[in-house]
Amino acid sequence: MPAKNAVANQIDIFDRQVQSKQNDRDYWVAVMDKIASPVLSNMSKAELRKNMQVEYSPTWDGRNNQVAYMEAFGRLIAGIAPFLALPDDTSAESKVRERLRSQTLQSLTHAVNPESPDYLYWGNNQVRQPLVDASYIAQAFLMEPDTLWKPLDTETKQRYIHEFKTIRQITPWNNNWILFAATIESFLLSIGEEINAARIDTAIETIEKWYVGDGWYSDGDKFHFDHYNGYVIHPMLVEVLKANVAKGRRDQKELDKAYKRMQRYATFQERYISPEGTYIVVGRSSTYRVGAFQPLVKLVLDHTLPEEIKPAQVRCALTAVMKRIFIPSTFTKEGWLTLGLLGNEQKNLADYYSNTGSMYITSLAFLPLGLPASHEFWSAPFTEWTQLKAWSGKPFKKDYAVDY
Amino acid sequence: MKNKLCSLVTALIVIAFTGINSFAQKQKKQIIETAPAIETGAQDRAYWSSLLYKIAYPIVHNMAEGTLRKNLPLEKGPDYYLNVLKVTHMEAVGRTMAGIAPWLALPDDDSKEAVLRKQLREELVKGLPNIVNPDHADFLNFRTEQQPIVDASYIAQAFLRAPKQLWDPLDSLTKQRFIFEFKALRTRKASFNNWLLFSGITEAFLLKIGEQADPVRMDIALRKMKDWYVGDGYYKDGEKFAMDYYNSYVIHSMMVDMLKVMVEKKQASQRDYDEALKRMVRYAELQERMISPEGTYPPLGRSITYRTAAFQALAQVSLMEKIPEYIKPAQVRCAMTKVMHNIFDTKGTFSDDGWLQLGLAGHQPEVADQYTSTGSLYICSTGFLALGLLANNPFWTEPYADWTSRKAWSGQPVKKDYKVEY
Repeated sequence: MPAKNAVANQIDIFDRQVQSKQNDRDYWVAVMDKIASPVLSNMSKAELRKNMQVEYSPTWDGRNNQVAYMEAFGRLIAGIAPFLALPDDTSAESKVRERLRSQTLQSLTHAVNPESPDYLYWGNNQVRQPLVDASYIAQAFLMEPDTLWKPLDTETKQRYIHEFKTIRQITPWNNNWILFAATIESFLLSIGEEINAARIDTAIETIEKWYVGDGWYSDGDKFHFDHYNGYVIHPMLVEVLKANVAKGRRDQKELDKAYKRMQRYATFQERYISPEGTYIVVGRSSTYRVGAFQPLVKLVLDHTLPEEIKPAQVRCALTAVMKRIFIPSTFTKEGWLTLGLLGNEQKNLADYYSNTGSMYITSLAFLPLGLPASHEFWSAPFTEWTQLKAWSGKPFKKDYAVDY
Repeated sequence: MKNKLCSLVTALIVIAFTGINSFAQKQKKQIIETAPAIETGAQDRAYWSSLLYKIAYPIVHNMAEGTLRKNLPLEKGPDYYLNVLKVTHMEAVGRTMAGIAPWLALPDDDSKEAVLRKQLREELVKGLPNIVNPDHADFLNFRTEQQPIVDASYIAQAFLRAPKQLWDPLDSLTKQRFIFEFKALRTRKASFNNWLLFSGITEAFLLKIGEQADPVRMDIALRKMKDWYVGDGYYKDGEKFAMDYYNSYVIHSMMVDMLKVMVEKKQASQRDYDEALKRMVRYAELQERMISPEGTYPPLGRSITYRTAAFQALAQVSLMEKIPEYIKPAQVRCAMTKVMHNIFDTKGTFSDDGWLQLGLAGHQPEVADQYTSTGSLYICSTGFLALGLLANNPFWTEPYADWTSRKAWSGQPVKKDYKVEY
């Protein structure tokens, strides 16, 4: 039996009555905790492999199924990192934070310890998937080094450096994947390690070539109408550029341009959310759920939302979306995320590369929990988002393409 | 009658083979699934046709009366920069015509709807001579400004969509005048974006009726649009991509209609047409997914006051009966019906006198672009193209069906979406 304080809050996050009395932040923390706890409570004890019930897509392509664990862990911590980085205090939320933070740090040591049952599978030339998920670990380190990287012991740090360098044997696919390699190298750069410069610079320059306009990159040579600009492209490009500008390797102007484009893209995302809290389900990987909104919430966290979008309208829109998605049947009896958008009857939505672990990318939507509770995003009263205004006959902001 | 008998027999067989219980269960399940909709296909059609009539009537009737210039309101977007008196009336005429043409092309019968249709058609044919008659108060300006390149092309597209009903009945002087005015547009060039197709389709119409057409205007539209294709059913609108509804307002629809004529007249290859059509079908597939469970869609990009024209591509693919098999035509009908209710039942979308007002759902003038005036709004009629399908088409007869987002957001199994490589 795990110690009582090692698992998620027992409040019923699905109870509408509880929800109605709860403020939005408490709701977000409870959902995040519900998502994170099965992964972290197990992995912190080196029992993830033992206890995680992994479901694979009905069209699973038969790749090494050990990839699931790094997917779950890497993607999860990239989303919760800012929350973990907040200072401790006497609030109830802080207890959750302290627990998840200590579990994350313990899990981080298992992930690279060859002796641990939860030593993650880091892939090879044939099994490329771990490049993706290692990069989400690197992204978490890049975002919150003081909280997640610096506290690690020297041996663990050396092991990460070793794995991050060994993973160079994996050549990324010629699409958004080039940013996974660049993110890992950029983390190595940030800690003063030797880098593979080509994996960074080729990525930056290729992505620039793939820019089609109005805040949209094509994912590879062809444009696709899906959420990959959200799951991966904008936030990773910006983080890569930030790390490289900080070390004088790339020009501030490149970062500024990439950032502006991410802001433009986020204005679309805010408009995707319907009055009732749904959004457009297009393209592959729709089982990644609210992870799609990563650019929008990253701007929230950075205080850089375009002026016409009030932080509270993003909170209210996303809260409405979460309440539709995170219903009881979206979790298995044991608490793992199901394959699908919502509920447990949409397994067929999972792409050939998706499994239970992949679903944890949804945690990227929780970046605003890295803002203190006193921030306007959390404290401002209910605010209508664009579609809510537009479809009820109220004035709303005109939209226009940008030329950068 | 025969159909009714058939389904009765089928029902009996179903009961015989599956047992009363499961039949009852099936019935119950169906009732739950269809709970949000009370409308049948016939009721939806009645709503669409009366709504399209309501939209088009003020334009068409005033054309017939020769009072369009006198009566059309001149509401303008903030910081409007066109010469409204020289452009808005043709906008109203061309855009309305392009949307109602397939419906007007249906044969007369004794249905209620046919009465409305016949009246509109007769009044439109009566009004058309006025707009090219230099001595008439409603004579439209084809000869100055850039904007008429756009709206003349919607007139040409309407003639292509319903040649027998709208072009053939015109007297020969009127025909000569249209030809003259269409050619007069050539003194100006189209903007280097979706506008290339406006010039292209007007020339395609001239080509179609055996007039001398400018092959370069068609050819450059075709070549640039092919260059500007970025993937997954999306074209760029010019050198840069813009996330808006221009693929629907203009691009797919005009590209396919223009190519049809060009192929027929051996000015383009069948392969070009097939490719353009495939891409439009992919785009339409994405459009069906854009409609939220409650019948809204994301207001993205400029010209959002064009309302249901945002779904012209989906409507045209429905009209052509090319909707991908896994999407039931009825789910397109039900999704679009819901969108129409949200837009056109909202107070303020129509003025008290029955004209469209600037906005999306209701009167929201601040959202109108600098080039948008009352006439521009009539492009919303292009969302109604599916009315060109006969009332006995499955699009109109099949029972209510949940559209993709309704299924997805209620936890039902739903088809996975995947990019295309063409």
